[in-house]
Amino acid sequence: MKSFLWSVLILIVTFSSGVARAELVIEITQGIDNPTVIAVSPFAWEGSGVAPEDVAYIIQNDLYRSGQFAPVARENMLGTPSRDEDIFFRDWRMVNAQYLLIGRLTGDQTLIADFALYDVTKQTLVIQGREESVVGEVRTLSHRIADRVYTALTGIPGAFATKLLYVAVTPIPGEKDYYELTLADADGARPRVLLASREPILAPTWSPDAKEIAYVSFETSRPAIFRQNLQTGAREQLTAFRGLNGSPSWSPDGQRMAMVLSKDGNPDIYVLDMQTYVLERITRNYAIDTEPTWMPDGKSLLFTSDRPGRPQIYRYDFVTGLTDRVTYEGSYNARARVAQDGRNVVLVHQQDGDYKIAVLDLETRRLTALTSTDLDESPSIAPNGSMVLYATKQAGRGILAAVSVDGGARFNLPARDGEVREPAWSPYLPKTP
Amino acid sequence: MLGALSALLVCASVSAQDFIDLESERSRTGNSVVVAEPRADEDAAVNPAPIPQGSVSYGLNGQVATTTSSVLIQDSQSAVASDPGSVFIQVQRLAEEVRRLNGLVEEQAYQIKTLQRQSLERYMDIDRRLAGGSSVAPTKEQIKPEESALPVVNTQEAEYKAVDAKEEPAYLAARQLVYDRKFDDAVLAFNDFLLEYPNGAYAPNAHYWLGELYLVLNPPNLELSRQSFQLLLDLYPKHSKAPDANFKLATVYFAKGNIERAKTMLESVIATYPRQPVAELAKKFLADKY
Repeated sequence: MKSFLWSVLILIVTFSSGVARAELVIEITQGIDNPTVIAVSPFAWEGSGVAPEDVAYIIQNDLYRSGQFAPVARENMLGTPSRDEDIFFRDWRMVNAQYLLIGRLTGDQTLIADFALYDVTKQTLVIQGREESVVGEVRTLSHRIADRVYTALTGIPGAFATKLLYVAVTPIPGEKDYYELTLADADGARPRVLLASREPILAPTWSPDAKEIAYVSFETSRPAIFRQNLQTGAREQLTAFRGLNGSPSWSPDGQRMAMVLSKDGNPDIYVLDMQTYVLERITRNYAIDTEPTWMPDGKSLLFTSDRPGRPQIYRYDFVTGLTDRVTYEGSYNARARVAQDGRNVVLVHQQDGDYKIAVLDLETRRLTALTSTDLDESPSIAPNGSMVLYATKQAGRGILAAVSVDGGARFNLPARDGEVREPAWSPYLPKTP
Repeated sequence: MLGALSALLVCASVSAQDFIDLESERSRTGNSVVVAEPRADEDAAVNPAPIPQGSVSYGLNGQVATTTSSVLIQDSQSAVASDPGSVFIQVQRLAEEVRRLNGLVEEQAYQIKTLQRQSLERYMDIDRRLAGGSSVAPTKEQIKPEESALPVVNTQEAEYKAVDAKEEPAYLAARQLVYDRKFDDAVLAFNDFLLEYPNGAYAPNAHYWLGELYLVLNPPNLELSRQSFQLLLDLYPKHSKAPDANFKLATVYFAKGNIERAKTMLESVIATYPRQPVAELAKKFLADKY
């Protein structure tokens, strides 16, 4: 018993130095041709002590990352107004700003930010508003302001106040790799480990209310599907069938989960009722059926099948019970994810031997390649449908990268150290204090 | 030693289940397999505790959490692996699949036959017209709208598509036939062009030309003209030729006698493209014909 305790202690000592969180760093590689120039004046801090965060800087970076905005550098600002009466529009025209965002941050345990967005050319107010948060969530507060600015200027809901899930892999010399399922803000900040394991973690995915996640873990020596409460970390092992247990995907109403099991022979799609734990088999085919994902209306599933000889996307309709083929272009189409509008499908597409991320418009049936590298995988789409996050390789190292659905804006999210893979962009988050 | 520990931690949830029945497991849910002692001190929130060899899940405050097992785990352990389908069932399924495929092949054979017949008819039709010689040149009036709306390849669109080196010459050659007023040949040339480059950068323009050409043939083929314009609008709704195609489509409907539909379409052209020359054409058409 004593030696037991000792070994635990030794483990703690050896790991406390080596375990670092894989934090993502953002490198913007391409923006659109004529970005909107916006100046985000530093927010005045009117509380006591030191300002908790540079709110304006977070907002500015959010907008920049979208590729649609070019923020004015602070050193070029001729003034830093935080109130309406301090604005000299002439100053902002001189630095070519089209819009100006000002704001003030105050509070103690609860922070309150008042902000106002001005059109510099017309010298008019576009929107003004207030966001509140507890002091620890000042980044969330900043992202929410960025969302409101983005919505006001583009007409598209912002998705900056969302989260990313990804798997960070740290090689440990002479030992098994170290896997961390990590949660981070959409800008890569505030990484938090949700599951640490010495066995692979795959296919993380979100529940539609963003309160739970599911994934495949090999910790029980064979693949098994787990669901985990985000807040408490408590989890439930859902399956441990003989063979494959993979690709969990929550239905839009949160009541069911599609998954791949090979318990009855070869891999097929099943749907698990999360209340009754009743499994329904969806496909019965001697081909491999895998990677199910729900259409936003919950009435059909897209999945990958190699029944035509090479992997292609098929669609199962729950109403008619019929399955039909969705992709015809290219010799390989797999890992589909559907945007909330139910129209754009991002997938891995093989073209000239390279695996690229492509977007398929289900209405026009047009397929457009979005990426130009050759080993892109695991696409995941932002809840507002504007950006696609995917895993790729940079100098032989696994990194995350993002591209806008129109292909105009791109950025990379490499980890500070180690590799990152299997990204999953969250749905819109419930409003938290 | 370490291995033993990790094995213990990792396998606790799985190995235990071999001996636990369903009911008792349900009642245990929530506090069953404690992977590690929960700790929620300040330190853990900043930097999650270093982990042992097994797998540990954390809450948002860095607290170590527990893992439970669903009822399916016992099912999968206890139930003898469900029969993956005896040979009989498999054969039945295969037979079903073969029947389905057979039906599909028959349907497709029928569709191909229909298409073949249609394309032959179309060819014969064109051939007949060529033999008859459509020597009657269209009047200035007829040719004018297409002159005013010369297909211009949107340079941006052309950039995005990889333009086949031979595509542009083929398109230009076909267009030259229009300029030379060899309308029958031009119809053939544009149809060949579309067969060769169905998704080419100039495909929208080819559709547009076909729509125009079917109108100036002798006799005009209103239905094929309608199809060409409609195809252009369906496939490339945002193309720079779309406003003109909309207008032309309306006039084709008018010529076909669907006067009401033509009117609605013309009004929608005016509403959708108020600042484009096509709006003026539509207004003029409405003023002249209604």
